[in-house]
Amino acid sequence: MALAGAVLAGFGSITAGLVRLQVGEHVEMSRLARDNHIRLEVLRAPRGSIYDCNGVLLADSAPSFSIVFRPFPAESLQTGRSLLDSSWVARIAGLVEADTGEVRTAVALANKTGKTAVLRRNAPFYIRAAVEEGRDGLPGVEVQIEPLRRYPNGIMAAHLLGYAGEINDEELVERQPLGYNPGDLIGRSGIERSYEDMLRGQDGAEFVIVNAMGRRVSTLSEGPPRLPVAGHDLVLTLDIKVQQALEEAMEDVERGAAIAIDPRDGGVLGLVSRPAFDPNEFSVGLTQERWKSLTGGGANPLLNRVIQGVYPPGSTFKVVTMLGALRYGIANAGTRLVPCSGSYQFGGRSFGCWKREGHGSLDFIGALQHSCDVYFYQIGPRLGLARLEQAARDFGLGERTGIDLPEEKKGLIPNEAWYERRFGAGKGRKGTMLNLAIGQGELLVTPLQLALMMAEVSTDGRTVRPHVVREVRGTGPLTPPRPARDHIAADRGNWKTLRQALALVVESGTGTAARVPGFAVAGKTGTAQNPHGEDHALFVGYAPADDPRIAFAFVIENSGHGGSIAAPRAGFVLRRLLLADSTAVRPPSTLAVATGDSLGGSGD
Amino acid sequence: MRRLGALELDWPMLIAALGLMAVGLFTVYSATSVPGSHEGLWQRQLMWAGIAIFIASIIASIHFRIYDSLAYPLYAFSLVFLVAVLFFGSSAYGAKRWLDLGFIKFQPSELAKIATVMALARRLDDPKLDLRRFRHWFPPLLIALVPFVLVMKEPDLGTSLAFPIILVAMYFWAGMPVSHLVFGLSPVFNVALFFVTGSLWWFAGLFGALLVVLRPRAPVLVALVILNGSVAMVLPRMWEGLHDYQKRRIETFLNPGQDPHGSGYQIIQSKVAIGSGGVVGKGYLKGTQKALAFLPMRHTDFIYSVVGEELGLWGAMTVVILYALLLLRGYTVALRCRHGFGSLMAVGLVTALFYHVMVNMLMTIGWAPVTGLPLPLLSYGGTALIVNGVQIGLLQNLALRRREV
Repeated sequence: MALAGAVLAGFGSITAGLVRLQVGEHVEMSRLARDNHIRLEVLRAPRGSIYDCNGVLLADSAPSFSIVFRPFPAESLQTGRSLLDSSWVARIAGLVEADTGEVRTAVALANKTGKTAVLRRNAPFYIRAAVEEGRDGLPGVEVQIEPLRRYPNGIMAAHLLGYAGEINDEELVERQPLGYNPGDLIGRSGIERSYEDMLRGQDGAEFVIVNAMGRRVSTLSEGPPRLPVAGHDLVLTLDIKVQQALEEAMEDVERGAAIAIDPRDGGVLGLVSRPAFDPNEFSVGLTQERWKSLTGGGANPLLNRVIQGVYPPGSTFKVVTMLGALRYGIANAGTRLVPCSGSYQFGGRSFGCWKREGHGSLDFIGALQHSCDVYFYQIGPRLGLARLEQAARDFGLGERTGIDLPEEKKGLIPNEAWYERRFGAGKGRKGTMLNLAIGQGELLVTPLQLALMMAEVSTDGRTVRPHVVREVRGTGPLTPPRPARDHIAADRGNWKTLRQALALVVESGTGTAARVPGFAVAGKTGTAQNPHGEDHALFVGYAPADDPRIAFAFVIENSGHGGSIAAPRAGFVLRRLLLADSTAVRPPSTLAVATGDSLGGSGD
Repeated sequence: MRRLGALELDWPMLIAALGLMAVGLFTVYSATSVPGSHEGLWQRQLMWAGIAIFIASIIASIHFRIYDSLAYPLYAFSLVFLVAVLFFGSSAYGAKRWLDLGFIKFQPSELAKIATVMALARRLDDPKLDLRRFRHWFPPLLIALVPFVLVMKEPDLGTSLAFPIILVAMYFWAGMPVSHLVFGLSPVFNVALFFVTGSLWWFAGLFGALLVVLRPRAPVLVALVILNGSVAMVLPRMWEGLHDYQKRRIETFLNPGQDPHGSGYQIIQSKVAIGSGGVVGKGYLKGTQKALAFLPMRHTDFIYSVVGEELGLWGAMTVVILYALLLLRGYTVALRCRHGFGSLMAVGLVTALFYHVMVNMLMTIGWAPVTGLPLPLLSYGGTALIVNGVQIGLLQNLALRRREV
């Protein structure tokens, strides 16, 4: 009878297992039970490294020494308790130079959960030496090798790379099913966060035999260790030469952002946000005070202003207004309107041009070249809100660009409905159109959106999706993500007019500070009025104008005019990148890059 | 109608069950005798044992035809609880398995197991049912599938797998030809072999050999090949399409023993405890708490490790023999029962017990992953003990009325 057979077979196998354990392996198992304990030790997997597009290292994991406390085996708890009085905790805290209260909490938690507690990460040599020397008087305290996240270039590209920190209790509850454990690193911002699943490795484990004092005697022969598997390495689109140039250009900036992307595929070449932070601080663990001083106060250094800072676009928005006017046939390259006398009367109000003495009569190209506000005031009401909004939305303004970095902001492109919600139906809207046409008013954009806009102007409206990661090593090349929008529809002639005007801005208009000898550069200055203080200076553009390889946006908060504050920084970066002779542009920088060889010759 | 006499009870089964309960009580006492937590649990276990025996005798005294007629309502009732637990269940170790009814914490999957056995028995008892015909497989399949999926969602993989195993045993008992059974299970072998070997060729070879030996009819052959072919086509693609972390999740799900932080450790401690017991054991109450202090569930899931350590091979084998006696007598009840529903129900109940015993014991000797299933009649726990009492009570019920048609 089959079922009885199954029962006999089942219990036969149990019997075989019992005999094997209790007769065959009895001696070995007795030895293990008698004088030793088995403990599970986690072998931490290193996170994947991050490289720039030339293979220059931006982040890696290196072995470091941590001072840990391992809870005692249960039956030596009596011994443990007698040893763990308050003077013991104070002594340990002094030794590892940590806060007594924190050490006490960590030790208590370790004893409760049975899991190892880290008392001090990245311990310097003298602390390790002191622990090793005094180990007989320090039951449970050991030196352990763990991977430490390192960012060899310090603050360079900090906002793009982000940082990784020790997992906290809430994250742990949420992520325990995914295999996270106390003490694990987890990406908190930037690439470290958006590519957490790729960067994170898989921890290994081994069973070790420990004596009654909890000290490791040997590894358990049964069951080989599960070796840790390192996370995937990432290769970025970032070019350290561009990044370095941006960092230097923004060196003296208190608050601001600079971004450079490749207009051909949307790859981010460099990204700077000021103020910056050093991600290395987070790897070791921040004290409470340090965290407060970082996040408190006005200028939050953790904020990535390139994607999280929203600014009024100022005159850089005239690019949108101009293309809109050209597309809808409001004006063409040669159209002349009422000449600029320094101000414009509209609805009983006077609207001033930035140039008090006036520009005189200009055609459309000249109006953009010299950023004549009066000319654009006249365009605004003719274009109307709906069409201006459409022109802005075609460039992706008011929407996330979809870059592979966390917490991107949308900005704001107001429309009829928005104004009605905000101010009530049918309030005087005409002055609003004048302000919007020159980029003032309620508009808000991120520096990344501006750079993307210029990239798309440079390629006659071919849309791209900005991204920072080019390749996840070990999974094959990433297919470039599809842009979120359709290509921008406009006549070739309109694009040509716009690009011609942008090139003239740098050649002989408001942006001459961005000139590069021997190269045509296209750009647009902007000075955004800001109710909270000084104007923000903006400069956006692309270069070379005839064969664009870089599109960029600079925003310097509360500093003054775009032409005099932002454009020179763009000029510095472009000269550094486009001219073979990269010296003699600026006094030597204090910013050091660990891998200097990659910066030697900028051949392009 | 004949008068029922106590002599008609299946005494060997009863003695085996009471013996196992006694071993359980003594072992719970020993496992919780360490100063610290859980002291005095044996008194509560004794109380639960009394309640279980009382309930078993009530269950045994009600005529099994009543269970037959109540099978479907009971089944529906149990499904309601299974759904309720997904919404209102209290979680432990990340799974929602318990329903807190105030006076008792109750595990609906246990009730569902018994109710499903009854519903299956009633369905399979239908004289018009012909399991040689493909479409007659489906109603029972559905009966088992619903609780299987609901329990899996809790998630409680260990308990959920009891449903398909019960179904297979009852299919067999209801007369499904073995060859049909093998073919019906072939997609399962397909998936299992893929995960074990990482390639589909093993299965292709075995399947081919089976076809040659069993020569199914043409329509069946086509259905089988299409079924297995599509499984084989989809499986590796699905696997390749997953992210690394998703694969890791599935691997940990299928083989929790791999989890280095929890269960692998328990299994090694369990093996050390049993192995160090040797042939004669360390003596009752003399298990070195050294090893056991590391075993977090020594009075529940890992109680058999304590038996192995303290009472040695003899003690462990005694438990094995008691279980074998219990289960073999159970199948004998099924064999002797002349009532279709009763016989099928007996097979389902015994198979459920068998499954639990095997999964738990194989886990303690390190041959199966940690699933969190207690050892029937031995492990500490009120619900489990009462459910085991109901199972034994039902089997005795059938033994008492074995001559009835």
